[in-house]
Amino acid sequence: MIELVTPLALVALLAIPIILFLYSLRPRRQRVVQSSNQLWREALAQRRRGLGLRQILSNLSLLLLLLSAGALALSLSAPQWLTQGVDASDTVVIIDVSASMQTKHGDSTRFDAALRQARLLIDAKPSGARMLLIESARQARAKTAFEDNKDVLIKALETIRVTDEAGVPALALALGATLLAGADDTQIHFLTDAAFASTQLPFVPNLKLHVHGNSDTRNVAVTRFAVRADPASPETYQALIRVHNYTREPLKLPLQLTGSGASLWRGQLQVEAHSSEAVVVPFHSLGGIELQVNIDYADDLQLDNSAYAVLSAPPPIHVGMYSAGNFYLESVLDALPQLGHTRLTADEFRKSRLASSDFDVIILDRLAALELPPGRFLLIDTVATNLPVELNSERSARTVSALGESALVSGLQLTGLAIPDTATLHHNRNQDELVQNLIWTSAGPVAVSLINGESRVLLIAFDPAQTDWPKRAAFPLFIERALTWLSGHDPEIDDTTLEAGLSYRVTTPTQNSRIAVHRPDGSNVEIRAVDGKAVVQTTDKTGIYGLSIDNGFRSFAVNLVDAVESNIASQPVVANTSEHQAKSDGTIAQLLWPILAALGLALLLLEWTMRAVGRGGA
Amino acid sequence: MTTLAPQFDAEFLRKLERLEWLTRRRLRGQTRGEQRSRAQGRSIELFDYRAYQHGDDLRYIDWNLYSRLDQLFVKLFAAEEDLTLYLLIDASASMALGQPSKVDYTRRLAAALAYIGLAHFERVGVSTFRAGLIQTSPLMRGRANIMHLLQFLGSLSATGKTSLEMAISDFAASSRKPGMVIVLSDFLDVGDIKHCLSSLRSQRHDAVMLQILAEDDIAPPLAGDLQLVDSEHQSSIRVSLDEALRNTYEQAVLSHVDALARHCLSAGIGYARTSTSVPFEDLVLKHMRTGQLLK
Repeated sequence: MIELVTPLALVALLAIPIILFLYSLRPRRQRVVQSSNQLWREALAQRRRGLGLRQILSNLSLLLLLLSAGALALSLSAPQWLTQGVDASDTVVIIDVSASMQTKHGDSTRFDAALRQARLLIDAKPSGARMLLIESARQARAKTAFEDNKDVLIKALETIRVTDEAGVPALALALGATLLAGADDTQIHFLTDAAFASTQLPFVPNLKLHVHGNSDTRNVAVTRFAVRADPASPETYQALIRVHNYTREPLKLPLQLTGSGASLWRGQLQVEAHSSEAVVVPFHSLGGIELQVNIDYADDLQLDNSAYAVLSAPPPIHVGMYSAGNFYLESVLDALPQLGHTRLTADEFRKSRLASSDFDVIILDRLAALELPPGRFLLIDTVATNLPVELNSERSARTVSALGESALVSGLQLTGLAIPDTATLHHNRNQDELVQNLIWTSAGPVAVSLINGESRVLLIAFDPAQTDWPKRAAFPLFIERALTWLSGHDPEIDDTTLEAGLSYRVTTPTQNSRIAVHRPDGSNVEIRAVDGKAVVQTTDKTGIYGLSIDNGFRSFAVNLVDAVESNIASQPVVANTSEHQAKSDGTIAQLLWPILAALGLALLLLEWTMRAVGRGGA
Repeated sequence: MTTLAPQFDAEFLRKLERLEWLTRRRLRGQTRGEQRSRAQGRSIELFDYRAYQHGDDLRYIDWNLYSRLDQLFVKLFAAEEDLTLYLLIDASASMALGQPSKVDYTRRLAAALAYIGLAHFERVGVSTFRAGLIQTSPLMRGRANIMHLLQFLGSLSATGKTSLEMAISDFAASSRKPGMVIVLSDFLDVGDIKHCLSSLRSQRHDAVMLQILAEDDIAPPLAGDLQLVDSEHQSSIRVSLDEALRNTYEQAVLSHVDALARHCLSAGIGYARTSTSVPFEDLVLKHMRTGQLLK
């Protein structure tokens, strides 16, 4: 069957009446008067009967011109010869199951068309010929051995599913070529949308590329989604969102960032044609949320309009507080959810040796310490002898005049806070220490933070309980920020996001934990850890994956975020393959325009030659 | 027109005078002539017998037969009557073609044939036809009328379309007396020839179809890309004439004339064919005698 890709080109057939007109202008024939034409008509009729088709050749020159015009017009309309069939004894059929194969064409997808064609190839397989099915995405997976049983092949074909993975066709082609190495009369059929760079195709002998795709597509995609903690502000994160516009026109794309279903941010991003734009979205979170960014735009491939991330909850902070009694501070510690604190009395402080390894943060409330070991400390109205900070012995009433630039006090309303009795802090900086003044009075700083190697110390030179600070909202905020900063625990981000098709490694609490993997599509897979380690390999779908490990639960995100895969336009096919344009019904389209164009030119040349030698046909 | 009249020398005319028409059927004439009529009468030559019928003249009963057979038979006698010769000449446009033209050849032939009849004191009439009879001369008798006849023939011109059917039909309506009818034409566009022939026969004419073709009609000296124009209908066909097509045409001509001859034979009508390339004297003095039209 022949189909025309650009039937409008048949307008060129209008050249035929022009040829007829020009032909009519040729020199007229010699007029000869005859007694009667009746016998001539009989002779012509008798000759036509005798000559059959040669009657058509009664005006060969005109016929050649018309045929030439018809052939050239047809070649312009890009006719395709639709065939199907497998003629090699050993055939490898590679089906592209990468994400771009989900691109919609009408009611079906490229993948549907590829499956139909694969089925036709199986049906057309000669008896005795063997076939092997391979699916190609990020990995190449052989679905069968070389089989001559069509039923086995069809059953295997029915198990092939399209994935959300970026495609690496070279792997599948290399696998196919390796499996066919050394065999004669072989063939590789690659059923793909060719939505990849032609350089990705290695040279493979006897490769037939069946392209189920087109270049006229509309798609936008999230090509990068990264989340990081704001180093300047606890509980503040930044989401980097990069969006690519693959269409031919600039678009204003609505974006939404959600955290566990709740909207965190909405906005629009103006993206020029065939270019990308990025936006950094700040948001606050205590962790333990599932993030999703989504482009609200109807295009040919919806899959890449979303990306996911998991902001896992930070581990609880174990605080040990040595205090003679501080109602406000204890109330705050009780209220903060991620804190677990142990209250120690002054006697216990005096009797025991200070062991920082028992707690993430130790609070010393108005209890003087002679020397602090390495660790994380909040010192309230006290100092230690081994710190490079000293308390000025002159105490007096002061008023908070300014706040430092640290994120610990950023945005807090403390200016004008009256402090009835406070000293000031004086520190001697050296190169190994990082000291920041947090709260200022006119006499000097009354709160500083200090980092020395792995040790962190935050000093307050007065007793907040003697001020009205605890009655302000700024007090619990400051304490929470201070303890989080001191603990150094940030929510886990980097280890919870990966690209579709990659493996996710899990460390389990016990050696042989059973892990239930809850996939985004609702299905569950169970795996077992070996020596406390397990690998989740079924990450072919994008979304949030849940892991039930013993009594715990954690999650990770799987994304496409691949700028090459999201470019769903079929690319020109490389020269080392025999190209066949595949139709949605699975047939193979052999391009006929070169043949027709050559035929048209040959007919023109023949007509010219005939005229040159003066041979007008009867 | 006079210049178009056929010119014969005295020697040729003497030869013509020695010829006479050979009819194949007995024809009924109005006056006594040199031809034998089928009309039975009281001449001296016994023609036939028939059974006696009531009212027959008892003088013509053959009593010798009665004595032998004991049945009454009446003697029938053949009447000696003159021959009426009708010459029907095709004057359509196709007759203008040929080298010499068919109409010139026909004009001379008709003059010769008419002269033979006039010389033998036969009644001779000439008609021309195209799509019907267009001109008819009065019946003439005797050599003295040869000049009138030649004048009539000199006025003959070849134009227009032919319809032999219409011509024969007109002739049948106008000629009440049977005679010898000679139709001179190329017969290339004859229509329903069977009908024409049956019409002549129904009028009890002794008819002869004398087909006169030009050499160009039989073997056209043509080749290459041509537009052939029908001389009568002005319709044209485009042919690229090669050897094969020419052979096919010549075969078609032969088939056509053979078919015409067969139809004539089956209708009991004489047929003769000639070409304008045949010398006129040879045709009249040799071929027509050989073909038993003249004796």
